Amino acid sequence: MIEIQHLRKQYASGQDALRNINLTISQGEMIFLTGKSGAGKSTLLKLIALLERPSSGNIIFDGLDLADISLRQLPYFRRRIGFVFQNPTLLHDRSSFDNIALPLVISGYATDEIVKRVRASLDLVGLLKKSQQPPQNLSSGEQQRIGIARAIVTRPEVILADEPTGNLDPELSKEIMGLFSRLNQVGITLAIATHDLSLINDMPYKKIALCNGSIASSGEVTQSHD
Amino acid sequence: MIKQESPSTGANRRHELPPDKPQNPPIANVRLWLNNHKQALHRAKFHLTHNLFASIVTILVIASTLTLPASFQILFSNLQGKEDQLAQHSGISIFLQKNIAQETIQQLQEQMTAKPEIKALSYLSAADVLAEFQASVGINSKKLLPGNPLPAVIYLTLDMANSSATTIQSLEQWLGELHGVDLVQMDSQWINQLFAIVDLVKNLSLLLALFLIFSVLVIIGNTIRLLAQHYYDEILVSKLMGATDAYVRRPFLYSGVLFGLLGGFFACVFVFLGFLWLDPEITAVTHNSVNSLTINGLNFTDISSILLLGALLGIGGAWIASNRIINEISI
Repeated sequence: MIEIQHLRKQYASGQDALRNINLTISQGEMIFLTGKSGAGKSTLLKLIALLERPSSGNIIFDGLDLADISLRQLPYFRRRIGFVFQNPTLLHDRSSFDNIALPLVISGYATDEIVKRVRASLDLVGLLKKSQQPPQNLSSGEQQRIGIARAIVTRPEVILADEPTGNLDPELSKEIMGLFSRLNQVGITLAIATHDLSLINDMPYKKIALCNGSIASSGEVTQSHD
Repeated sequence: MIKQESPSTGANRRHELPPDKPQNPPIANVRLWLNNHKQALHRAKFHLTHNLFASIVTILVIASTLTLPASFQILFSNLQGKEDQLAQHSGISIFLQKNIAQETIQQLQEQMTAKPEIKALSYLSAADVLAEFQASVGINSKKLLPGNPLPAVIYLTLDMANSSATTIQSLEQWLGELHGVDLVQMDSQWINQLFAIVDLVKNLSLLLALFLIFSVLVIIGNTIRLLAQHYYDEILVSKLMGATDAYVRRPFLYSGVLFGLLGGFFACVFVFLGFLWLDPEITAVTHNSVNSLTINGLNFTDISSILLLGALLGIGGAWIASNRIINEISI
């Protein structure tokens, strides 16, 4: 699904954010990217989503070299990916329903299809009853679930989540991780960046630890790399 | 026979670049396009009504700024019509020498009638001129003057369709050289001087109008810039969700058009009210002028031009401002 080869990202200051990253994320796989702040987790997700371009190396997404994607093609590539952020970045001047509908509206779906899909997504995250509530009337956990519903509503090929539980208490964090697990069970590929090892230690998924821009270990994580 | 797989299907599909546009049938694309514009217009209406007071103030500022160029346009388009109308009635007065023979007068009239620039001719003898003078002044000059000091006059009406400034000048020179002619006076001279002044004022007004139109562009551009900054998060999220620059820009373009159209509409209202308010003064001026000058208010073409100008300035200002913000968010 995603194949990363000798990936390097150097910032204008000359500092390496990522060095020689080689990684494969298979179709339907769920992986965790771990490591302390500044390890390169977010940068790696940004490079996969083409929010930034790599300094060298390749990212092959579903057989497609992302280096070949032009600025004109970029929006259409982004429609194949679902994003979940630490801050759910919901728009407060519209209802939860309209927030979730946004990617479908952008992609040009018909109204009846939008209603059907948004209701299904809301049902999946357990917030169907709050569809007409504006985000500011929801709790942090509910807002994050709306953010996840928005990410899955287009049925993306992959979901990239950057510290999705960073602003949540442990109970809500477990709930969100459980939700990701359920999404993975229906075949969605997920790459989740988190620094909270205690939250994912018991989860049976691949864990890739990053340290100073390099992969420190890959597999089951049992201790912190801080 | 093995059916060859098309390049857009099967395993090859996985290596293709994403398409520039969704691969829909043409009718679906048209529906999608219309739907996108409907949503953009809806969003633009939301932009306007969300902060209604600020929007009203902006629209009134645009309207006030457009009012002056619009008024100039109407005033000068009225004068343009009147210039031709006045020129049509312009003529030449030829004062003949004293004691000129009747045969010479007859010859002069024949020579003048042969000229294509001269449309009509009327002759007033010295006695007729004196009688006209007495009638206009209301006194009996015979008691004051020993004889008739006034000369006979030939009034020429020019055919402006067959005349130019050069031919009229030549005609004036030719008339002055004719035997028996004492003085040639161009009646249209004062009109020419008036329109020379009007032309100067017109050019100065055009310059001022251009500045004001540029101001409207800046006002709308700045309003849309502030609007785009207010909706920065929406632009950012939309781009992350796969929105194209055109999709992001569209509601702001509609906002610009709405600001421009509403500004233009209120400019028309202001012009109408302005002419209504100045109506007694305009009537007084026009009634005292020659040929009963009348100033017409806004007509359909004027209103359409002002609205179109507003809309074009709106879309131009919005395009520049929204592009700046979109380019700032380079994700």
